[in-house]
Amino acid sequence: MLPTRSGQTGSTLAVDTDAELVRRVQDGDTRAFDMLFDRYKHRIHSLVSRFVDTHEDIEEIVQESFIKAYKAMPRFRGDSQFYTWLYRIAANTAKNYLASRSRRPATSDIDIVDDAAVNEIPNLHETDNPENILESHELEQIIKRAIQELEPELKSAVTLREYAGLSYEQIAEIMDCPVGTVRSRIFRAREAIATKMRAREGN
Amino acid sequence: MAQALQESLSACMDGEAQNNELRRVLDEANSSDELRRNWRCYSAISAVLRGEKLSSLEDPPKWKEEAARIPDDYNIVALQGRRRVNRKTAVGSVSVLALAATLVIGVFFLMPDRPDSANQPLAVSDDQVNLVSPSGGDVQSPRTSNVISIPSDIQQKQLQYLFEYDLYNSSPIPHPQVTSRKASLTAE
Repeated sequence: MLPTRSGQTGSTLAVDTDAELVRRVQDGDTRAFDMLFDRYKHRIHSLVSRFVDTHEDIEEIVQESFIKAYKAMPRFRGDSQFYTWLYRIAANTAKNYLASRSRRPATSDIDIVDDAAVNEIPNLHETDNPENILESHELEQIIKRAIQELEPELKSAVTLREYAGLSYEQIAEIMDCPVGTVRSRIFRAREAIATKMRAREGN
Repeated sequence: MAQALQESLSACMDGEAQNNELRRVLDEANSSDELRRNWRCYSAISAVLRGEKLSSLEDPPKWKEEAARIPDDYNIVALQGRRRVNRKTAVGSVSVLALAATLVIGVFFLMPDRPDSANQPLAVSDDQVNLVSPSGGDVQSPRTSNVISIPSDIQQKQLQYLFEYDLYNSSPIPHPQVTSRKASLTAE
């Protein structure tokens, strides 16, 4: 199966991390859900930004989507990938949010038992803080710069993994090296970037 | 934190960790803030490499408390939902349609001199209309044999009504009920 840019290679291993996290959440481990939140909040943010313009609304919808997902987690049977399921929740939340904001009836693709429930979910965090926006933009710039400064083999390995969505085995074939080396290079690339991120946090 | 554990964490991000390795990392993540921080960093790096925008959401909320605010019967998963139809509007529309259908059928069956639909065309042109006298004799010769006949006495009544209307009224043609009331008063 050809990989996609989103990083889903179709490998069952890629599903296993999420599946294990989901299993733990269903067993009552909320920290496992924190990890799912950290893992997918950016991707859901990007999705929601296709529907909604303002940063404040986007972040509110992202958070609301995760809360809904947590609420529905006992009913998640793993028939689809966790991200696919979360994606559907987020897209639906964004559409319902827009409908409730404009005080107009929903026009399509909205399946809500009780519209009033949307309005019962309060603003959970002050996400419209310009500092937050600036920080995330600044962080993005730091990561991009750090990627540019990586050693070529580290940069290739992590780019093939994240951008091209290739498995370690596929990258090993392309780079003509053992799978273990690929794994190590990707880790070193991430650590080099993360070190610069931590340095910023320390300032 | 041991470098091996960090490397395992990186492999977990990619779904390339062995099962026991995955469980060990996730167990450790429950107690290690540093591991959680690294997971968050690696997730942000992945997002930037994939060209996604970074969310500024930092700390996750208290899931249990926030989820408790959502009603239990709240349908949060379906994307391809049913278009919601206002029940009152739906009932009203059905009632109007039923009434209209009843009227059409009723008028059709109760109409005097209703032509036999099996033998008559659905529509006729002007030149197919044939007027007949009350006695049954033709007033005009039909051009075709298969025509609808309009009794001449009805036409006579129509002309009489229009004549009387022009004679006594200058306002628009009144509602039929008003006309009948006027007619009854005249008769008295």
